[in-house]
Amino acid sequence: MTEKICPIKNWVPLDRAFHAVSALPQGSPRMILVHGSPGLGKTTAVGRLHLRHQGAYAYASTTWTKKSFLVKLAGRLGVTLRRKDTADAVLDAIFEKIETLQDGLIVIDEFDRISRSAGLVELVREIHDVSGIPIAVVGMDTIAKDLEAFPQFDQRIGERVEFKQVDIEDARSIATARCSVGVTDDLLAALLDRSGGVIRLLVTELAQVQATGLRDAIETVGLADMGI
Amino acid sequence: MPRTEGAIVTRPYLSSARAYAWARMRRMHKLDRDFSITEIVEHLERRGVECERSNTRVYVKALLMAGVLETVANGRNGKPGRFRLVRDLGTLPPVEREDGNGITDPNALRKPRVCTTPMPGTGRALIWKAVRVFGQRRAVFTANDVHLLVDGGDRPVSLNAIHRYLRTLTLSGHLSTNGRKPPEFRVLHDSGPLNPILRDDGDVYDPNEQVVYPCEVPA
Repeated sequence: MTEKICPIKNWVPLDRAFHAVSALPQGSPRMILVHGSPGLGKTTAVGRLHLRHQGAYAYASTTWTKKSFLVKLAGRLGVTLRRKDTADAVLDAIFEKIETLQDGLIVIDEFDRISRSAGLVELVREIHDVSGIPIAVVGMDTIAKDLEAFPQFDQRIGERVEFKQVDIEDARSIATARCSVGVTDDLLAALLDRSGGVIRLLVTELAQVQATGLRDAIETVGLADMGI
Repeated sequence: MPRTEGAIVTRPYLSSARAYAWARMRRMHKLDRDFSITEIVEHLERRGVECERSNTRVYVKALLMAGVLETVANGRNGKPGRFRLVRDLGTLPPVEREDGNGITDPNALRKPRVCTTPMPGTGRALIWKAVRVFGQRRAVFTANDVHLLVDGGDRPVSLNAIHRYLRTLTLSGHLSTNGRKPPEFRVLHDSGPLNPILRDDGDVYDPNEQVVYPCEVPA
């Protein structure tokens, strides 16, 4: 399958949100909440944002404790730790490292796995408050509701970005980028309908279109070719 | 620019047939294989390099005399002689001296370039950063997945460059790969935020651990 980059509309508000919180003065709410249903491209979008800035990308796990989260974050930032370092010492080392970053960003993906853990949520807030670095917390729809239980955290969220189902324009952009065969408008509309606007499902459908087109040597695949 | 007659040549022409022949000999050495003059000539011809068999023979003879090559089997009964590289002098091809008195090794004359600090913001730094994102998620990924993350920034990174760097990281043991097509990778060793550096000798230097990982090319 041909792979090209296809900017989709959901990426634009994320970039805008990062620039908005970065421009805020120190002490302002600089957290970004990125949420939406699974399969809408949140991880790819924050991954791309992370690559363009200094900082760290951490993938939350249900097994995290406060210490293991700090050790993981330190590792992502390139902080050298000693075995006997306490959680407090690790946190200090993280703050020192963050001070050296320019245009920094911390991304915590799958934050909904830890969004009910008061200790971890408080720790993330502490890192944000002390260092002032923008932190993007990413998760599924439930994350916004979970965080309402921690008003002190919720108030630090400067920007909220909700990933929505892709529309026909995005679907066309994805189809053009991913398929070397043509896809008719009616087939694309049917696939979009079937996938419910979820990118992950749409890409799987398009892979089948691509395979059919190549197998049967069809230049532009339509509804009839796919038996829909 | 033509060279002055009689001058000691220390900088060989890197596009010469001998340079290509030397590169092929080094490649065979890495694969732990011997070669014949015919095989070298045929390889060069396949790559579209103009070469004369007699010139290659003279070059091989000079390298044999200097102890850079050794004879594995003498050519007899119609079978060609076979040779093996025993001293890999480096990337630059040894130069046969015009007085016929052995060879000059331009690698020994060259000031060694020791690169221990990766350049931030380069293509490889971006690729490594993307690789670490997949490593965090313990995810299997392809070169295309990396491309999706790194592309579109200020610095264009080609898919070929990603393929090459991922292959290097696989040889150094930072990544593992399966036999699928396209190849899928998994992070085995995330050493830190600085991207591992491919050195001139083909090995990989990891600035996070300050360790050199020898890269074994599979036979």
